[in-house]
Amino acid sequence: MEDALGRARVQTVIPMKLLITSGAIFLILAIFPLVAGPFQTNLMAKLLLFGVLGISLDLVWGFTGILSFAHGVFFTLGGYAMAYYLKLNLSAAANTYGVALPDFMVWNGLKELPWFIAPLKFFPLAALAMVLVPAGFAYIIGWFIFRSKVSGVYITIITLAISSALTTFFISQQAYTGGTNGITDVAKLQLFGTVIPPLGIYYIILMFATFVMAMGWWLTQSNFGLILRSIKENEKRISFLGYDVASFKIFVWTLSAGIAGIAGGLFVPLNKFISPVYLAVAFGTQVVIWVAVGGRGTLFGPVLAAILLGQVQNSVDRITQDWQLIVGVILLIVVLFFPNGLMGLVPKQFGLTNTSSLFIPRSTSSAGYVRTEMLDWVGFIRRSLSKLSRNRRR
Amino acid sequence: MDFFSSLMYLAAEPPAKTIDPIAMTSQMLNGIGIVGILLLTGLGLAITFGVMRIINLAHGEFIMLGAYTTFLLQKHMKLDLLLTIPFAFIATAIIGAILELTIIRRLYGRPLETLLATWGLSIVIQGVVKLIFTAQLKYVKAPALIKGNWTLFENSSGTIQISFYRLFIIGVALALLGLTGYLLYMTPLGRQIRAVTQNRDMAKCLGVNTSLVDMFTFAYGCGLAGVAGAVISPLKSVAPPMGQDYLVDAWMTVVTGGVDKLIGVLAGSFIIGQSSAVLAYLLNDPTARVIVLAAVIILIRYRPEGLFTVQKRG
Amino acid sequence: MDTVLSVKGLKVVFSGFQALKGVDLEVGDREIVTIIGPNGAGKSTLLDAIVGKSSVSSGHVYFHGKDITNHAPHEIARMGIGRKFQNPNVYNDLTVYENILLALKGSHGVLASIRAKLTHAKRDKIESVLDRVALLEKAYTPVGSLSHGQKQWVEIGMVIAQDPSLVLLDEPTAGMTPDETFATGDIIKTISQDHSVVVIEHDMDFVKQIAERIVVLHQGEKLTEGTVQEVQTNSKVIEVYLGRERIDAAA
Repeated sequence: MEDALGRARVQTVIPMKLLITSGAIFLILAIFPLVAGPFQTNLMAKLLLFGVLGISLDLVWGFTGILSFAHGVFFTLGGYAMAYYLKLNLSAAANTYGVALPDFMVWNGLKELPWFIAPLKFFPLAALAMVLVPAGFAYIIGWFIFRSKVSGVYITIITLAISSALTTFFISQQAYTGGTNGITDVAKLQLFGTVIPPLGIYYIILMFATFVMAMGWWLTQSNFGLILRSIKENEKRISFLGYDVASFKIFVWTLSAGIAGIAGGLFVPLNKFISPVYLAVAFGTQVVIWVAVGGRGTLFGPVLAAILLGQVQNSVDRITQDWQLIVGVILLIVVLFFPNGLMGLVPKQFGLTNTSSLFIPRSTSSAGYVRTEMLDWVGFIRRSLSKLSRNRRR
Repeated sequence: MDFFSSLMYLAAEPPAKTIDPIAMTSQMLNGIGIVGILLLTGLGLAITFGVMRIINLAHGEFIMLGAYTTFLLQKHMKLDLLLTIPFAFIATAIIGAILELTIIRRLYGRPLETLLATWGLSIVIQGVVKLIFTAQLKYVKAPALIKGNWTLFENSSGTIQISFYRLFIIGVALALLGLTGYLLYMTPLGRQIRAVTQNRDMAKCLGVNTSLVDMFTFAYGCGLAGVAGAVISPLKSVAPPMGQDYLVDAWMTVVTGGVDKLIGVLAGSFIIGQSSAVLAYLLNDPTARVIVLAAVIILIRYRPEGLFTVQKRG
Repeated sequence: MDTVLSVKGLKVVFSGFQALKGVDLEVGDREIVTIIGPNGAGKSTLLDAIVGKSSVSSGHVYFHGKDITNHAPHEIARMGIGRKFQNPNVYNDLTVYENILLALKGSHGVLASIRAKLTHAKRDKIESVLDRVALLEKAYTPVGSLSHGQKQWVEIGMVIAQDPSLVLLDEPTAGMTPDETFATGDIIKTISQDHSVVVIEHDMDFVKQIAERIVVLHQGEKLTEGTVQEVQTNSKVIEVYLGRERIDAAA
């Protein structure tokens, strides 16, 4: 049955190309730890979490237009929740102080566990805190800044200020947060009494990342995603259509913070510590760079960039002193010359662009993000090959 | 980016147990000192953002460059700090002009891109300075002429005094504010600047060389930041990340006070400066920062335009 | 006839400048009210104030008897007022179809939009709107690549899709060819069969095509109102428009 436009009325569009490509990527990542060593597995797991963090920022920035330097903060708040849990569950044998109080609290003269940290000894509460603390924090801030009428630039600067203020605050509250060193010497993550091996953690993270990617994809393809993109392009206009822009922003912002928090929580078993380093503006900038370099509004781009840049940083370790400088240069180059990021260079054929939403056929891959044409490598090669063979026939 | 050096500035102090009037007044005087710094460092921003609407996140780095200029001149030519000020202005203004020509200009009208690009610039400038000067803290000597404190009140329980240098900072800040106001509102150049920023095309039709005006205005704003850097350099140490805190504070000032009128910077500095000082006295510095930031966040919800902004026709 | 919109003593001030100095206006059910006046008379400002875009210094706006003065724009839109802006205010990066889809009347809440499915009913509605504004073939093209006049129609389509009881059109024919203008007049007449319409216009031929009642604004105040004939022969109006050829003298 066709509609007035002559197109099939209901298309069950299963984005085949997308499924095949992402399935392939998933398989590669799944067998990765079996071929790479433990160090690389640990690194890759961390980078996958960074990728998830990138996805969370992409949701608010690439799709809704809110540039935030505070996503490191959400990540780290979740991390602290998990770290407290692991610290408080350090077995008596491993804990040098053998008491119920973490070492940094003892050093700072605390006599008993503060009431707001004590509940984190229990996994369900810690897991809840891992999501709810960043999300709640984000919600409160969001309620204020998105219901104001200030422009996006002011909001970005406020996220900078939040990152900066919280960094110094956490450092100063040594007794509660472990100060500059953060929370170190944590227990291994356990499931019903047995320690989860690094490989297990890797697969948990892989499943989590896949889940977030799938959910992100579904969310942005829906009507909701359409509205987000409209907000990004012209938020006033959509308010005159009856949409409460602030509530959409607050929703996606809170969701994004929750995802970041979980990523932060899963980070601690890998990293073995959490500290204010991950609250600081430098880390928040990293997240922005993953999205900017990977490609705003692509979801895959930030993951790709996080993995790539992470691997590069790892091998360039000797010059890590100047890694910040390199990062700055990369950011400048991307903003000036490659606003679509890496995903702008990926061939169309891989099907990784956000294509049809709500079964609406598209004429181009416009849709407000990944705007310029993706390079048509495969087509180009085909054409050159056919030209070559034509020339040879002469 | 090294936050270890900012630790020095923001080390936690034990909260005060009682409110001692002398100590409180002393702290409020301290607050005036902070207001002076905020005003001085925020002026450049009032030009680049307030007048030109360019989001320059590298503003802190221009302050830092001014401080380093002073350091260099002191180290190699033994110049007194007061003499280094004009050089700091010129050096940072030139760098600002170059950056305007090469980068800022390309992103005209795209605020988020400009924000990102200048953020990248700030990282790059810090990195380059770190390469040249290393991350080691450098120290600058205060001017020979300005020494000691002005004692306003003294008795058995304590003294209320303010250092002459802090007064000097406020003096310079107010002088520059006045100079900038004069420049913008009473000179032909100022008229051209305002014409360009209010209606670019019309200004072009009237024969104004808008690209030159842009470059000059941005350079002036950066130069002001450089002067700020020179003047505040003896207060703490000079190091590559020193500009970061001034950046955030300067922006909070601008957000609070509004940018449409130059007087907004003064108002914003005063509010942020005094409240920070009082809160820092009552609690401690890091907590004061968090509270002031929370207050700004709440403020923009209810008074988004800042305090002195003009309601536009939309 | 029910009063759909009632504006009483509306004053709008932009930092000292009085854009509206106390305007009264009544719009009845399924009426077309055309607002004319020289540039700067405050016509767009009046619509801005009704819709919640500009804040009202004093006076009231009543919609179906309810006071909506200074409410948030999205609340007012949900209550049933649709606005078309002077310059085409559409989403250039989205397709025509998506623009209309966004505008479709329905629940605009966060959770509702996550669960929303593109039902047959919705598709039908979108197609009928596209048909009405003659953009059916262009449904899947990005709006950015359409002509100015077509963009105007996209926006008119968006307003129709909103299905508001009050439609506000700000210079809908600006930049259109005479044929397009005439077609727009027809669209507006069909819209007014089910909705109340307020139109701001300059083109007097167009005004004559659609006008039932005309309101003349000048320097923030209502000069007069009446039928086309009455307004054209009003001495105050002629004085204000003296020298402009747009209003034909009564000869």
